[in-house]
Amino acid sequence: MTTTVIICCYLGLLLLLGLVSNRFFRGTTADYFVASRGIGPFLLLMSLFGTTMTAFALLGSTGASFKDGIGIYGKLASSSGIVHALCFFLIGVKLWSLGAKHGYLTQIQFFRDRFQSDFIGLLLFPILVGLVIPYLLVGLIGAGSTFSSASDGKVSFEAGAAIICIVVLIYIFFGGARGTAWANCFQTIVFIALGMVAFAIISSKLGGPVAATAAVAERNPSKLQRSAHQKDLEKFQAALKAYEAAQANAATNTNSTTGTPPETATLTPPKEPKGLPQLVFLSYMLIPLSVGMFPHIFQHWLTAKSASSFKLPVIAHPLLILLVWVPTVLLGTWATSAMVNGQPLIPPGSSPNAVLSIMVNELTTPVLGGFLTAGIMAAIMSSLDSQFLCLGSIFTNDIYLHYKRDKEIGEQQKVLASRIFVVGVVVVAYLIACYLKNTREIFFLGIWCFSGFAALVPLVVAALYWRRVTPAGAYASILTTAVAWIWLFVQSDFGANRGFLFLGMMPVASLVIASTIALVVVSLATPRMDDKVLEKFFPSK
Amino acid sequence: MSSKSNSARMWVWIAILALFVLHQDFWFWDRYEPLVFGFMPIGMAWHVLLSILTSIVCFFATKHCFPEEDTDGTSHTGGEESKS
Repeated sequence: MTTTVIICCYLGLLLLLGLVSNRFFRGTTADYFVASRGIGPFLLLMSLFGTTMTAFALLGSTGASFKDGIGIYGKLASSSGIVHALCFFLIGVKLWSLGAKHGYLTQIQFFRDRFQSDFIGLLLFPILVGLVIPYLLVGLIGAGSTFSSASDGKVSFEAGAAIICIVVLIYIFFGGARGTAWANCFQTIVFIALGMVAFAIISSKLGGPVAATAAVAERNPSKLQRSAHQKDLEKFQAALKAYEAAQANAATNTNSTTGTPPETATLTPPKEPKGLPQLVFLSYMLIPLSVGMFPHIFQHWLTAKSASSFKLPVIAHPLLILLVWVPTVLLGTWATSAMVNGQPLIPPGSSPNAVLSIMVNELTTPVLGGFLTAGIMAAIMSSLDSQFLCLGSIFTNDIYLHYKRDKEIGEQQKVLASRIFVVGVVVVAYLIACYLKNTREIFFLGIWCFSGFAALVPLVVAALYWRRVTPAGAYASILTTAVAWIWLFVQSDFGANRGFLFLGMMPVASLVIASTIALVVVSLATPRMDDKVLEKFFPSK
Repeated sequence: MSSKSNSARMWVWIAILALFVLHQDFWFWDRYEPLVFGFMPIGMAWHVLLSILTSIVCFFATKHCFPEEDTDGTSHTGGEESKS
């Protein structure tokens, strides 16, 4: 009950924020989609950070470190700090500058203009939308489930997801990009603060950080490093021997008696402790590259007041990642060995994603539990809103307005169309989420969506920095990405094989290399673009 | 562009490259000791330090490598909003 009340109060605050932001709305599509390019450094930092950090930053990171140990920090957090900051700096600033000069509202508008090709829009549209939707559904299903479980099932999944959709829809509908930026800023502060408070309370309940780590070193030392520790290997060998002896014993008993195997025969074999392969660690670094092509990040970049507004996000983004990830990774690692009253804190067989919630419920008060759930919702919604808005923007600007360009459409009509499209996107996403709510596999699609976006980054880099890239090279890069992505996805049993590697690396490595080769080879083999067009994007000094 | 700022730019790019190399810390792969502050495994502490270093390098990048022509929004003609 406490949790439900806290969540409702939190959602009420968000609604209020959306309604207040509407007072600043200027009634134009540029204001609706890119806040009239008036967002300053702090809001830009918070909205970019809130959008890139999904619920995975709180729940997933704790779960992943519970499962694999501290290696997850280097694999996802410090690498994201480096790569995201570089993307903001090298891609974001440049795209903002071109967007402000030429009035772009979407990525497709930029690519159509850069390559003087309508076709590239038609090629990119299904790929961008197709890659954003599973990512969006992961958040929406996560939000509905979190709401439902926080209310002990009193609020159904459908009702929970509907409430989240309505709240997000209201502040996007009334506030557009400005409402989204404000809400993101507020939500980011909420989830950073709550993560730190939860960390302080839980670590003190575990006897302090030193005692918590000592328990891990004693019971599960492999979780503190990225290779299997000798102590864990010895434990595994002993468990394996016991298992084999039990199996042999069971077989003997089965043969000699009634044919019914005794209970020991059902024992599951112990899992061999495995380290993190260095090639996987290296290739994982390409996953965060995806922010360079996320359409919702592109839209946030365009909201910046000036290029200088990017300086703070570039500098502070790695530090904010540190603030969120260090506590959650440590909590997940400590959870592997924490004991309460002689029993493991995390019952065997618990889902890794439930680790943080179990720790909060067992070691803190219901009020903090309620706030933490609100923090998880904040992390989910701060990504969902940007994704909804960017899909609305793509449908409005790249399809509806683009193909209606021969007709006069007033600003008010454009804004109305934009709002109708945003409502349409939210309704469709909600219906799909309700249909797929029990399809857990969708959660594993996230990494595939990121890989697809990362493979398109060479295209945007070439469009910004390489005069010699040609439309044919761009098509080749996009088509190679699509074909290679589908082939690898099929090879991985449609994402079901979660440990799928290609040539010992994450599939993203092959995708990025293939798309880059196609881009470069085809561009060099085809005639260069007209100098007049190039002058627009590479003005002579 | 002065040779001093060219040299600063070069150092920033070298530092960025170094961040990528330092990220592949195979030297801390097989151990967790020493524990930094008594609780943080050395492999994790290394990456925390790397996050801080990234921020410092980014500070110098924005100081020395930020595109001069793009630093002032007023130099642009404005986008859609100027047309509406």
